[in-house]
Amino acid sequence: MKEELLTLANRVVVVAGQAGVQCEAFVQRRQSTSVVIEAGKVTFGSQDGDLGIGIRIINGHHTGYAYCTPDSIEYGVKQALSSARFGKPGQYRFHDSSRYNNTRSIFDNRIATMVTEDGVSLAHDMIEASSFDPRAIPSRGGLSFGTMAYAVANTNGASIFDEGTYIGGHVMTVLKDRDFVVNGDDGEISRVRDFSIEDVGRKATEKAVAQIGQRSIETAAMDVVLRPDAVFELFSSTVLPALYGDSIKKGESVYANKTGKQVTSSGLSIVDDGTHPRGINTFISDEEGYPSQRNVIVDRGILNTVLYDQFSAIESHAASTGNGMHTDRNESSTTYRVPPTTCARNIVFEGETMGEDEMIRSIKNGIIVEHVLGAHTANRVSGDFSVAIYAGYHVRDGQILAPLRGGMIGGNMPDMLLRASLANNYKIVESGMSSASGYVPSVRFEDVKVAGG
Amino acid sequence: MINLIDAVGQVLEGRADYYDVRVLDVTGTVIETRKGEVTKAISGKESGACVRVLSGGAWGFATTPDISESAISKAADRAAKVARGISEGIRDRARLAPVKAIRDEATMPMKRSFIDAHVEDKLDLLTSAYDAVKKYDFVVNAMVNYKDAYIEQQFRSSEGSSVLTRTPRVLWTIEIIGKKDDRIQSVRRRIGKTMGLEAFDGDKHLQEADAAVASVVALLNGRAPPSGPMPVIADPGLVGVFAHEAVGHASEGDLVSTGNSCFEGMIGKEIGNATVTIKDDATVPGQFGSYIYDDEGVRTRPKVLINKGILSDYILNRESAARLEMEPNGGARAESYHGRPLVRMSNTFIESGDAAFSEMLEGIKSGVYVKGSRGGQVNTSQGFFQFNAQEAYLIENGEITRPLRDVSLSGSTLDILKMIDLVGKDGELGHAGLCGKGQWVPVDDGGPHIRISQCVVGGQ
Repeated sequence: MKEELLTLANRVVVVAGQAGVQCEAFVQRRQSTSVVIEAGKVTFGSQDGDLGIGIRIINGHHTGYAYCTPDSIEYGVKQALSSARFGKPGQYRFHDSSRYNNTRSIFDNRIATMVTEDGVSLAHDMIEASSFDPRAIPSRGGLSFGTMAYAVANTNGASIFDEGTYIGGHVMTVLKDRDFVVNGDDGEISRVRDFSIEDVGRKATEKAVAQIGQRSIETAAMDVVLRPDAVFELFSSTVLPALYGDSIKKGESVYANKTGKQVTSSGLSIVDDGTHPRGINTFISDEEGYPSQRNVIVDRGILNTVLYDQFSAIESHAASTGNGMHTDRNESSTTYRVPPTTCARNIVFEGETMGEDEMIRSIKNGIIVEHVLGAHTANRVSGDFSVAIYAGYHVRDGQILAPLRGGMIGGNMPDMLLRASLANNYKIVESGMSSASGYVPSVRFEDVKVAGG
Repeated sequence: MINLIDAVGQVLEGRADYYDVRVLDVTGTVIETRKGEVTKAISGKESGACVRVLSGGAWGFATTPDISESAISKAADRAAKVARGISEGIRDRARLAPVKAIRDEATMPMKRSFIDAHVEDKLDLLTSAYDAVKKYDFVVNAMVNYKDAYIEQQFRSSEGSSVLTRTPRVLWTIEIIGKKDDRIQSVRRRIGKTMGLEAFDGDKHLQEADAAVASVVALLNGRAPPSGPMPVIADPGLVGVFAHEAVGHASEGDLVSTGNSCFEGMIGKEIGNATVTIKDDATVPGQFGSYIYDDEGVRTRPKVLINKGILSDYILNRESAARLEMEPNGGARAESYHGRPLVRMSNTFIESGDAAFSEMLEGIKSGVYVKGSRGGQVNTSQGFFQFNAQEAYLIENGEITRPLRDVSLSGSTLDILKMIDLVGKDGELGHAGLCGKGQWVPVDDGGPHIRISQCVVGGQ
């Protein structure tokens, strides 16, 4: 695999060189197996694979991009040259950094050697674990596992390969009785087989059971604890794009001219770590072949740096932070079909933490929110959002009173981060609408507007 | 293709109760601009194939980017192996509702071909829009993007169906970012059609650019909205999102037949006000969600989901039709060869009624008028939704007064359908979007203005 991908990447650079242009080639191979659960049964299995090449060239001061298959490299280079005619001019250059540290992607041979039957067996385990309550049906869910491999080569001598594994499982339980219908969702994703699939099924049904007896809540401002999935969905739809250098340069970021100033509570640091030992996006380099690194974006409340890919760094007279990813808006995986842009790798919330139980005990009047509906509708420029609560609980005097029926929360996430504190129940999370992933705990926000259902 | 299907047939001999093969060839262009400068220009051509096998009541599916006979035969072999792995221990076997084998060729018309057009002509759709908005000093940035794709798909099934479809699609998007004092707001508008460059005849893209500027002005001057339950008037853009999110998803046969929809078992029951009729119709010519044959080779037909308040139909693929003992209606769609066909919407809308807009305002002491949408999301099993308005205004004592910003609505589908007390006599489709359900597919939605007597409004 390594030789094959590196050979392809370097061949593209040679072909582009013959055409007299500088070039960066990104060769990507993905292989995945998925098993689907519907209405309490395993119903569908699939094996999907892709191999493609993204070609970015610099011709004079213009840059162009195209993608192709291994059989059509000459065509791809020609298309990239053609598209460069329209690109805006700039002082673009490919990086020549080869300061790769000891970081490698996370590769678990137990995942790489899994076959469909293993997935089916795990799916049955998940179904069984979620069926402890006879009213509950694990109605939708499944498992997915596979490998991600890439090679990058460029005119300036970069030539790098890495590959990793992943496995994920999720299930939504529907619990029906004569008077009500409630849901429970749970899921895990990891680079290694280190989580219990039975726990995923069991927790989904436990969460559904906990939703029985939903009650509406009054409209008021109160403390809100967003659990990891909810907090990362909202964070990545609001704050994250504003922390990219390109957004700041274009005047689209609320963090423009805020370097050195307080942007979150002093107990919170926000780190993007391409070398994180559990990160979904941990690889030896970014997808421009630039060495992965740990970037402290916010240091104990103070904005320290923002993120760059190679070209946005050049435009801002900065250095790449190892965040060049072939990512497209609304896509959860990277793809060779689009050129690299800035994308966070593994966002980690660091700082003072406390147990979530302790956090809840200190709340006089507030809510806990597991998931939200509509995070993608947030205003990603201003950071304003207004979303529906999907699985929440009312907390009064430190006790969980009842699950919530309906209701919405709204606010401005950059402002809310100034009044945020962390629990210690860290979880690997994905946003679903971008390739960035996170490792975050529940976060408590003070004085948030809650609209009753 | 004949050789191919023979080869796949040989590989699957005795191993499949049913199989189908889709071979796709996609030619496309993507151009993105910021402030009139090109930031992305990609021309691409790709092909691939997928094989779906039903064996022992279980599904196996495999894909290949290589459309050679040998590669597709290997994919067929993998799909059969996957199906066999799934079928062991299976209790409830998947079945397909019967359909007549079809042999047909269907091409969606393209009056002005984007395949033959110069890139400069496509680029002009972007730069001219930027030129129209850059004169406003509050516009700090404008991204204008263009995508086209010509999709040629050959579908073959073991039942003898053979359908060749050719589908042209264009999608143009403008996103304007405006700034006033410390306030930043953004507005996005789209034109998406299943046709060629005639989608932009009459400079429709410039009209959308102007409308986007007007929305930015309203948002920059908007105040935080009131919160809580109140009367709401929704414009065609937001009504379309309601039809799609709240009703369309709950009508998807795969969700209904697996216990995931609040519409389960409710066909023939009154679930909404008698003024409400909602359709999903892929046969409307040229809209972004339009098509002729679905990805199971079934000719699509209009689906009247709610007829005068009565739940009347679901959107179905062959498997969900079999489970629900209904007729397939051509609702199976796949994003690409990487995904299996799922039950999906097409063009979803509320039919026009007879109310005037002024009638809707009458009697509202305090409410909101919501226009356009940034999208939404739904929980179909519990039947509640969220959607976000692009633009909103306060209604006070029967009059539209001041602009609001960042308004979202949430509620229970079954409650809201009964609370729609007036349906406007206007109405339009043409709100293109991409619907996500693990795979993205192009859809459209719309309708007339409607009034909801009470809906939960949330805001910042």
